Amino acid sequence: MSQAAAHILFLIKWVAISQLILIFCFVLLSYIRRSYLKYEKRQNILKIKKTKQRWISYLSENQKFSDSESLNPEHLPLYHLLGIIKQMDQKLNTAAWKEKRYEIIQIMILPKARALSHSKDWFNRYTACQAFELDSKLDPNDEPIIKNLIYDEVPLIALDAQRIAICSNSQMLIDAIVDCFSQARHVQQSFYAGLLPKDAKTLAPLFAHKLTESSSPYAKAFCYRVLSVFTTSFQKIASLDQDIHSDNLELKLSALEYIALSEPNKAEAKLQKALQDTKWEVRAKAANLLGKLHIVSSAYLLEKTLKDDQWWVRINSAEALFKLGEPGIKILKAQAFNKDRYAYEAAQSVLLRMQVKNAL
Amino acid sequence: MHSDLIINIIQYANALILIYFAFLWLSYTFLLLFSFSKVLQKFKEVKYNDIYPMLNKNALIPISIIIPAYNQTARIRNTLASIFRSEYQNFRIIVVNDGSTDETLQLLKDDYALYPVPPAFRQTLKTAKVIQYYRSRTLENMLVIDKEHSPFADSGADSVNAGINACQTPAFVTLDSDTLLEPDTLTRLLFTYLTNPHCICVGGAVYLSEGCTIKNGQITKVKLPKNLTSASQVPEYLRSFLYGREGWTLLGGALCFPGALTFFETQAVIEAGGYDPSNFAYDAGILMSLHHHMRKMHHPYQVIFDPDAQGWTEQPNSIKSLWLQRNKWQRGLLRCICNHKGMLFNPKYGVTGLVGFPLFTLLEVFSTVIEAITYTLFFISIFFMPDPFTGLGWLVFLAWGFLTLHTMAAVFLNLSTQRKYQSKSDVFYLFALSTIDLMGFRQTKAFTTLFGTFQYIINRLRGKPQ
Repeated sequence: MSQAAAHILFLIKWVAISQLILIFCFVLLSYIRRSYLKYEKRQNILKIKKTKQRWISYLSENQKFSDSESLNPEHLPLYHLLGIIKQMDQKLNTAAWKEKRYEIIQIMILPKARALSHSKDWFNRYTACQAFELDSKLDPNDEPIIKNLIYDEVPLIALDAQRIAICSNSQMLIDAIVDCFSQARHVQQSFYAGLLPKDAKTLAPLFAHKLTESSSPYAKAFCYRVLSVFTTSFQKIASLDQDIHSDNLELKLSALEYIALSEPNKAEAKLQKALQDTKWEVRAKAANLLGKLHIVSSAYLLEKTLKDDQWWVRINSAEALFKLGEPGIKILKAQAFNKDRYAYEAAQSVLLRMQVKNAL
Repeated sequence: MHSDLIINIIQYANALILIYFAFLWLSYTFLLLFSFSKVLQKFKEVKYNDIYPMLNKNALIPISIIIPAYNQTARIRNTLASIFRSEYQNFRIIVVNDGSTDETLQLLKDDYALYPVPPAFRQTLKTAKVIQYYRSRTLENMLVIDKEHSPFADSGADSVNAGINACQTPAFVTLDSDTLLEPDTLTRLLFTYLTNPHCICVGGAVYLSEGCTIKNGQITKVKLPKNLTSASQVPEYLRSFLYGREGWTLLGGALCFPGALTFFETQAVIEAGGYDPSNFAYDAGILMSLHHHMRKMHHPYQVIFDPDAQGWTEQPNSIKSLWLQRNKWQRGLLRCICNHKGMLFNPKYGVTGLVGFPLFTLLEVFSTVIEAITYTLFFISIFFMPDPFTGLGWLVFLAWGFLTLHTMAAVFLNLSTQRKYQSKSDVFYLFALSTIDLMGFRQTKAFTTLFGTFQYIINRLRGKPQ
């Protein structure tokens, strides 16, 4: 035992002294690394400055760019080159720069972006995406690359790739967006909703085409949601009536919203019927849309749903009644705590909030 | 005869303890080495990337900031001021007054012109009774929930659950009412969330605000605390937040993020059943619940730590408060382990069940308990062993070296990534603190966890939750 203890003690001594040396190394390394970072930063600034000067001299002498090597003599990585272009964009807004910018993108930026788009490092793929965004018109040969990036697992890349796809007006890429995002979680879909331009007349037919072709209820629901955003160009969808009665909740809700926005006259009866649906989500949505469409004749139905078992239906009904104006507000004010506490609280929550808003 | 037996027992116990500490040494060194490249890579991403235009280009989701507050009159103003200074502005604030006995609610009413609103939120998660909801006349995005005090004193979990019930955004951040945000913290949390596939939770790093100069919720001068009790915790925080949690990513993801600053996807937390209201270590509890639920349902997910998303918080500055804090943490952690024991060595839970969870139990929950047993054994061996001091001297030197080495590794990462505590005096103070930590503070922490473990066992036998 004592011999073993001596061996262990020797080991402890050895490790303890090694640790001491390592501590010293870490302190030394810390400062070496910090100095190197400072040096690297200075070098990068110099390289960027030189590259910028080279581009400006090309611009002033109006020379043609021959190859990537002459444009990037310092071998700067793509993200630095993109930074230089952004800086030049802010400073120069001349036709000459725009012409040179196009040449730089075609000769140097896009080939680098194509190579990086398959990188394992998400940051490289993201930089590639940013590079493709610089090109005003996407080359049809690059569409498969963008399609891959739409399916990228990193949400930020997927979102950027979708913005490029939307600008490209390509049916293949729109199909990819729908297939990819209809399977995504709601949180990602909320991100996506903010990307869509509201007056995209060219995009609406592409989404409508996908909706007609697709058999997946989730893809269809997603298309309806997107089409509801394009308020300036509603499309005629043949399967709309059928989709409103779908068993799939997502599809039913999005189809209801679409009919309310695109064909309000036709929607009234369907929404009033939906107020009696067995699913509370449908009842809440119908109440919400009736308020949005300002259908005063549905006030008595909304009064019934104000007493619904589900709180979300009650809140939406109260909001809808408020939106109907005087007849709806009258109903809200008539609610009493001792008659139906929950209907009263829902009514009061809306009335109070609106009161404060008006007071402000 | 008896003394021979005792010497034998001590020697075998020592051998076992030595094997445990060798394992601990190897494990932490492995975590350190693994996290190095990750931390430096993250720094590169942040450094070369202007994340603000990147995020602004994309649709920004609203985030709720849930702040449980119990008797926080002195601090909550600064916390709210730090939120208002955020670069990311698409947020809603939900302050949950956990039955404060001081003027916290009145202060909020006066500062933000609160008016009562009837309840209009679904009670998805069970909480103590909500007395009243308030909205602000001056800030449309503020909601204050006044509720009865949590039945389990000092656990903010019940308040966070009440906040989640009222949360109408797809993601939320939990923030302690004494924690200050940096202006870019929310942006960085969102950046990390968006740059990692299937991410459901992002943990932020928390530093000690004591010693720093604070003006209207903003840290104007960063300084290490002078109070030794507070300062002794700084190396521990640095080790934990600079590489410790990053290292756990390899083992299926960290099992504990600071409750003071963590970003969550709302849907995931609700599906996991929300916070355990009777757990003192509710921040560890929710993360374990998320792992448990996501693995059980075979959902792809990630929990990520972001050392660049930073907050500043207060920590115990007296031995008594340190003792109470660690004691509660230990009892809370033991409750977490018991609640999720089904994951232990269970291949159904993948790398988390087979490696991450058992290692967490062994290294994070029981290491200080074993440390306290070691001190006790040494004390006994003074009376029985022929020369206990030679070996002890080397062991103390080894322990000091281990702690200092890991602190210096954290300092290396700190300097390399250009974060806080950059001055030479700070670096040397941190070096000194590793030594000071061994002069009583570490022992206090060890014995409080040992005491907490006994207390937990007794309380459970009595039918109490922890």
